[in-house]
Amino acid sequence: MKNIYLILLLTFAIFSCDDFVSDYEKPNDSIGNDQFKTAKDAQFLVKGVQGLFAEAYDQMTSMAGGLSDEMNFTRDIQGASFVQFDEINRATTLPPLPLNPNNNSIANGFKAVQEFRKHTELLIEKCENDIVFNEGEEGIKNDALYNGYFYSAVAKYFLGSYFGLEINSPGATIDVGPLLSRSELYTMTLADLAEAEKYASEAQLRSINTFRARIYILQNNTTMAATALSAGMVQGDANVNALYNALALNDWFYDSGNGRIQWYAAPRYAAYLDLDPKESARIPLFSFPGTATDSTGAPLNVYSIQNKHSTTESPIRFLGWQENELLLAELAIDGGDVGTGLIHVNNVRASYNLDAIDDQYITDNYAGDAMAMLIAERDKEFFCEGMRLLDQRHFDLWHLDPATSWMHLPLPLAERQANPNL
Amino acid sequence: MKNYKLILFIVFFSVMYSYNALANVTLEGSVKDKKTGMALIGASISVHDQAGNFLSGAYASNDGSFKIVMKTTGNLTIRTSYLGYKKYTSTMNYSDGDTKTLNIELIQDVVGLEEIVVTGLASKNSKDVSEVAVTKIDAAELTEKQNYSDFSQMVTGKIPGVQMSNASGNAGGGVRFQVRGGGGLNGDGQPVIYVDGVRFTNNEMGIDIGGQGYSTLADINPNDIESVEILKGPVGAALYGTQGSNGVVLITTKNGRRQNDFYQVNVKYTGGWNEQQTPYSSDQFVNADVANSIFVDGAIQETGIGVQGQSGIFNYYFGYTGRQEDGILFQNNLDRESLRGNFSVTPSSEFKLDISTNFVGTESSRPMSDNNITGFMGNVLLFDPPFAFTDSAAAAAVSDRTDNSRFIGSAAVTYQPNWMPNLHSRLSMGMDYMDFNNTQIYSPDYVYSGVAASGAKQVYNQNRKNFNMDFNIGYDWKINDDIGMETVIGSQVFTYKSNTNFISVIDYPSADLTNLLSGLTYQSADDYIREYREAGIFLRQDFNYKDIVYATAAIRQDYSSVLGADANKIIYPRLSTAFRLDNVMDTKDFNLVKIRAGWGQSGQLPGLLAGQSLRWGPLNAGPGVGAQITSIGNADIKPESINEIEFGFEVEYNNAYGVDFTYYQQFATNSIINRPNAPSTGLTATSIPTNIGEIESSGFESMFYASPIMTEDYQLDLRLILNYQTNKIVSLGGSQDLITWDIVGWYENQPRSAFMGQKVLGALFDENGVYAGEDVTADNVYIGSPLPKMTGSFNLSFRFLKDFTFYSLFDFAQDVYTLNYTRRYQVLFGTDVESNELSEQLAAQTPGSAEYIATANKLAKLSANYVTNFAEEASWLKLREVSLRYNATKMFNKLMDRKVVSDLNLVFSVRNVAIWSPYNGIDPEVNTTGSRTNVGRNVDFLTLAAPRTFNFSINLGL
Repeated sequence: MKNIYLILLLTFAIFSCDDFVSDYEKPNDSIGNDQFKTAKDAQFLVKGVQGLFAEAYDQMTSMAGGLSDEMNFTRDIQGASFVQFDEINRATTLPPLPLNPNNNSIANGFKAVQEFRKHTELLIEKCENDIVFNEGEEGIKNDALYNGYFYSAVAKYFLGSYFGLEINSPGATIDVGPLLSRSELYTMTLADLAEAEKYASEAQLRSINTFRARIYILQNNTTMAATALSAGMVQGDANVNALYNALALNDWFYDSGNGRIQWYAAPRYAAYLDLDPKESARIPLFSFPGTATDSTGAPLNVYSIQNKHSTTESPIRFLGWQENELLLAELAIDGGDVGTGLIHVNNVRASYNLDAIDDQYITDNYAGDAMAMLIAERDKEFFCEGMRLLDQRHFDLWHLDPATSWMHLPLPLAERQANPNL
Repeated sequence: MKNYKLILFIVFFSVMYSYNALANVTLEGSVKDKKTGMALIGASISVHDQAGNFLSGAYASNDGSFKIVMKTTGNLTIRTSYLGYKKYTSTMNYSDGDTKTLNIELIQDVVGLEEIVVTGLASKNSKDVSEVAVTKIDAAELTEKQNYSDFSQMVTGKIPGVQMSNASGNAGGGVRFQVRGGGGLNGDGQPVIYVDGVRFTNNEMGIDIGGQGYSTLADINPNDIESVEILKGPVGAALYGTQGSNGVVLITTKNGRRQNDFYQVNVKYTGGWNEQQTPYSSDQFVNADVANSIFVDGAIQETGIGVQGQSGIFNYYFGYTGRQEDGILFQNNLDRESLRGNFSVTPSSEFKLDISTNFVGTESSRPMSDNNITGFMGNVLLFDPPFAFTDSAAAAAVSDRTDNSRFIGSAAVTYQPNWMPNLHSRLSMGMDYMDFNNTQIYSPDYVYSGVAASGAKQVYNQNRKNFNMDFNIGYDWKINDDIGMETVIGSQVFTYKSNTNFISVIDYPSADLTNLLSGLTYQSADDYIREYREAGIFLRQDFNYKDIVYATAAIRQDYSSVLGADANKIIYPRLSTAFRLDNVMDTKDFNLVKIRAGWGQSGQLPGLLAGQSLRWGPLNAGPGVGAQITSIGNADIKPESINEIEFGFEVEYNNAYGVDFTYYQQFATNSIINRPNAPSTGLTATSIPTNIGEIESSGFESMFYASPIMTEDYQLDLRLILNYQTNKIVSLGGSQDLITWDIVGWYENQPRSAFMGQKVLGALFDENGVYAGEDVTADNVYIGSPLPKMTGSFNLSFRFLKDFTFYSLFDFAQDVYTLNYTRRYQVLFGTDVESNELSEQLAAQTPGSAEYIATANKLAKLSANYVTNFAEEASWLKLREVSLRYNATKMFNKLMDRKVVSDLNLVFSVRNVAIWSPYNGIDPEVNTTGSRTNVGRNVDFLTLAAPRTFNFSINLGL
């Protein structure tokens, strides 16, 4: 009899336990994957993609700046302590401080780009399969798909432009696949842009074309570049910017800015300002003394620090009409038409109230080399936007020994170890 | 409630009425120590009738004598007990009016064999019949010899198979338990802690200050603790379910039961100081003098008052302790106030009610240290000139304060009905409510790298509620006269709920205005709720054959809120047995020869959302609030399973010498490893819980004890603990190694948290003989492990001239490595003396010469390019505690010419007296990322070392 009571008690306990543990308050800060159902959810996903784009882009531009001859690193600056940044700046394969795949900053940047890329995929997938768009919500759907494909193109562009397996094998991986070369990734970028085009508004289409043109120029496909540029962004078009706020802030503020300084700008930028103080509109800088002092206590060195991204919320331009103009200038100068090239260059300069330049200016400052002038204009225009690295490669201006230096960031160790195809 | 009191009085007066009808009988005698003849003042003598009912009792007086007058007749059982002595039982037959004499000689219970210990959930036995390895510490005795800042210090070096390590020298800093080989791979490897039946939140929390957190263990007042018991692995702790896979720590606080009087008042005052144990040497650190100058002597002051006692059915303990402790960095202090009220009521032989309540308020100030550019340590050790990162005044102006208010309370009712005396049941409920606040302020008067120019404030709050309820019911029965059985079923439920929020604001106009509204710019904020529930039911069957063979079979089924089809319940079995050889053989002077063996299973459940593939949360960014993946789970996740077998024996000889030995093996399978996806998948928001791990560990733990001298004036007690453990990660399921700090990680076929990497063999030279870099091994090689293979302690307690007691404790760790990351950065930043000197020498020497090559080889082995260069052999021997106590009770009362005090003890003690270690850093036991990281262990990166502590205490009993 006593045993029966025990068994009953046990049985009751078993069933009660199951109910008991299931009755708990669910977390308030996350939702399940199956809860994206409406057009509003699509907009929620779009903002996520745009936010992740911004999180990847500031890291890419910062590290690209350090890898190139745009930014330098020295421990003479108070607060400059990141060994990882020192390694990126040296960009060398040789000791004492070689750039290695175990660089954490690069690992974080690669991870950010890949997460960004994955979210574009998921956005497209959910818009096409899970989300129900009601009548009148086609515009939301188109906008969601445009953002999905456009930013997917951007992510692949980042992978192709900024990473590589070895010093002579640029490219990256997707979904633990084999190494995709830069060329393959740029092809995939163009394919995504073609998809984005189907859902683009007129202004968005112009952005797509300027972006296309950039890729074509990097591929030395001047014919296709010219076609794209003719339908690209024009003055008055809003930039495609990466946006930041107090919670997801612009990394430049703490990489090289008012928050903390790891990078300082190459001396030539200060030289640009010495030549023409009005260039501060494109190259805002502030001075920061080094910690080493002479016998009088005066700093031995004073460094120039970027002030273009001056606050935690400063946006970073990804595409703008000025690029369209400068690409048109490049095509013209490359084709021997310096005059047309100067028109486009001066269109850009005029937007900053800079004086127009002419053949004499090129002769006086660039020994008559118009392309050198253009390269310098790009150097100033795209200061701290991650473009200098690409320009150095494109125009064959690498500042280090290419046989013993990285012209892209090495794929991180975590990827090499986890990817059986590498 | 009122009816209950009425019943109580009726019962009481009924007994008294029937009692008065009989004639008086008298029992008188004395209670003394069998070896020394010393009177055992306060020994308890209780008289019971044939049915075991309590009739009367007394306590031995100052000369050990007692006298009990009763109204009863027949066969009576006399039970005598005294703390630290084996119980004594005798029977006497009384007729009306008899007077009998009984002189009792008690034998010291040197290791507490007869003390009741917890041997599993709802299972208590005396240690001499326990089937599992369990160690009990008499905390009350320890606090008489030493003053402890927190509970972990009390346990250090005293429990076989358990090591405690402080992650840093911060007052209020984190503490890590290392139990045996460390259990499975999942979780943080920490045992579950119960305080008076309340499941206690043992966590490290707070705003980042570089690595260390605030440890909630700091809320336990060591002076309140009566005993600590530890069940070390699944064999002992299987019935605690998943909670017990890393062991169970059971803390019991004082409740007045030990007292012999209706009341005793104790007042304790402690004064002392913390000081830097080991100064930085100018042979190693460029700015050693500046580094040493930042340390201060931190004052310690503790005042406690307690009242405890017992009277008949009621015993109680009320106490207050206030402690103020300053650390050795001026930013570090801890203030704790603890108010406790415990009482037990035994209104009848059927019921017992235990209530425990404790309110603790702990405030602390934490120093910026470890990986923190505003901390003093980094600024003086890494930079020349010092404070290049952060100005010293700016560093001093950062404040981090924690404020923790906590209530821990429990109530337990035990019921053993008279109408079914073999039935016993217990219901207990406990709650641990905590309200934690952490505020960090950067002054607007200074500039800080990484912080906005005009000051910043972060506020972090967490409110936690733990509730647990345990119920069990058991029945004792016999198959026949030789075989006794006990069947117990029970259940446990546990709920956890926390509500966390934080906010960060920057740009303050003034250092004097620090409220949130004064900050101009909101920077970030969030809040989140977490709740989960666990439940378990268990069945236990105990066997006892003639007090010779004991065996237990038990099983528990656990349930949990964890999502996932396969993950929400699991069964944990246990089998154990013990054999008392001394009860079957003529073992002469061997008063205990016991062998035991056991098998048990436990494991860790996955995390709350581990079974859900993807979860999305908000990304509040420039474009607005968007969706991003915030956690990645695994729908196929299963719980981890840890199997353990243990074999052991215990031998005690002549009540003075003994050994306790246990060998164990643990096998963990389906260990849940948070395996990061390859970055190119884009699914890297979190690592993915995956059942891919397997780890095995084995070892032994042993304790040798001896009391070779036991006289009235002298007693010598010696304890030697030796532990050995080895562990190996058998499999990571093909996943990549989990690495942190460049070389510390989980690697297959290596011990957990092994240090592995390319090892520098020497220097490389170019064709001109010039130093050109490091010659390294082609592959990663195993360097060492942060988990020592051998650990142990030796403690000596010597009572001399009757009233003086000298106590010392040495502990050691052997075959252990620490990563001296501080030194790596010193080399990088040019503040390592040896590296600088070698560089200078090299520059002055001729390439290709023998001395150049020798210097280059040394320099290569200090190259910061290879972190393996800084994984150092860090075996250590520490003189951990030394104390001298004088029992001044007799002297004082003699001076006063009457009994004024019942107890007067003066104690002088030192903790962290000395350390011997080849480690180049200051303290090989620290860990820069606190005490909860499971992969990265023994990493010393600008971590504050433990201080040397001096205390002087006066303990007065009235």
